Amino acid sequence: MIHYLGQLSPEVIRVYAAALEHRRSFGEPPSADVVRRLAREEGASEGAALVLCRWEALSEHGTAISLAVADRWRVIVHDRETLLAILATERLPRATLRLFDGRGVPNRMIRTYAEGWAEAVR
Amino acid sequence: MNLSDPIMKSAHHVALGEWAPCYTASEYEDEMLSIAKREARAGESPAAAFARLCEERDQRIEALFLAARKADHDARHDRERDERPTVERLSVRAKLMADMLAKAKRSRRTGETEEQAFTRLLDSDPAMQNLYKQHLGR
Repeated sequence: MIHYLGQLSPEVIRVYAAALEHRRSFGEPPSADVVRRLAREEGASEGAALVLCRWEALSEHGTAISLAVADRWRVIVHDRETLLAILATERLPRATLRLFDGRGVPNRMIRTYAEGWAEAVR
Repeated sequence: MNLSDPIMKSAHHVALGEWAPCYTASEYEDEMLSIAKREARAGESPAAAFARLCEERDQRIEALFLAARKADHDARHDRERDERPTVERLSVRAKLMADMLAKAKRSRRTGETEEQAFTRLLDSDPAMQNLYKQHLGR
């Protein structure tokens, strides 16, 4: 079995650790704004950090939205690490995933796109 | 992996799909942080130690992470199951209220508001009274 947690960058894992520490201290996970700020400070993928810490991702308008809800908002995948984070959680998003160029990423293709990211975005 | 530690033993078997989680996702995740804090090297922050352990594919961290995801999934499934009857009940009540409002609208007399027609029917119409009782769940 592939464990995708080990394939995530140390930067995004550090953000995840900070989010766990936050939840331990305050009883709830950090807000999306805090997660994004932590990601920027660490130089981590904001999309991947949101997935790991809050099961959210960035919409086409740049706002954080839940991956658990299927609605008209589309989640834009800006980098491979966001897909790896989704795979690491072993959860399937209900929100519609799209690459930054508008192509859809069906759930059954998440692994394929993550493993062949360079070819997929060429 | 120290399987004499109850939470590690649980995580190990949950990750293998042999057992159901007996801790919450937060408890499994807290244990990951505790390991990182205990095993941080000199000058290494707990977050950096956690990232190192993930990168090294530490079996304890992987088992705890997978167990946390499984516990999270199970808890969400239970919540959805518990909420479904409430949603169904509320939608039945909403339908009854819509029926009563439609009946009041149809029965409205000249110069009477829908609210007045609603009240009048509640006082005088057995069918409306029956709908209202159902709406209240009696």
